[in-house]
Amino acid sequence: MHFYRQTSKALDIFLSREERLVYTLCREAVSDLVLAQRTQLAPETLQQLLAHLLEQGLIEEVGANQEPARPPADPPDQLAIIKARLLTILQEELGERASQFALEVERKEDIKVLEEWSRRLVLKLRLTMSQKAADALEARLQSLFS
Amino acid sequence: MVQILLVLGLLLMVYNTYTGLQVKGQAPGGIIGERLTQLNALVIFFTLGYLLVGILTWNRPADTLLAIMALILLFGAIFVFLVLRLVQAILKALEG
Repeated sequence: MHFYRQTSKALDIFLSREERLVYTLCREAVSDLVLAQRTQLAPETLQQLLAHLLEQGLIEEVGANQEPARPPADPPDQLAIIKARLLTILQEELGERASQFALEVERKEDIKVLEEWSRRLVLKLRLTMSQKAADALEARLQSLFS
Repeated sequence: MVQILLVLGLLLMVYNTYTGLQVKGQAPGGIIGERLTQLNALVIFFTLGYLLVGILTWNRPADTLLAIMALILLFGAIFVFLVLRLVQAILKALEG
């Protein structure tokens, strides 16, 4: 069992949906077993993603006796998972334009605040970007925050 | 007097054209973005109209009809200016 954690290196490259999810979950030291459980990815795929993130210097391997991963019900972890899913949804619906909202999503420290911000984002999208994307995002947000 | 009103209206419309295009950059799509495309097209059309009216009436002796028309054109430009300010305020509120 190996443990991984984000490094202090800034996220300045474009990550795939799965890579972003893994990267977000590695905010605190987390084992590969927990990662596999939470991402529902095949072990080989997960190892490939971890190898790529390690290669990019975005995550690092930490000792097995360091801080263990928290149980799934822990609120900060839940927040990280919701953030990762939200970023994935934004990427799917908005494409490259989603990157301009990534920093704002990362800044949110509470699920309620994130939910409220997401609702405002739907309104903003509807008025200034794309009504179609706003409708799709609104539908997916309902399942994300329910 | 009529010439001054026409020039003021034209200058304001040129400013409105610039502002309209700038605001469009902030709202590329969505409801506001779509309406701004139409609004900007009309603003450009009216700006050219102001220019044409100015050229065609420049040497004409001022009369009441011409003065009224120049005033209507100027207030039309002010109307567009206010609409664009409203759109800017909405976009600013959405940012916050």
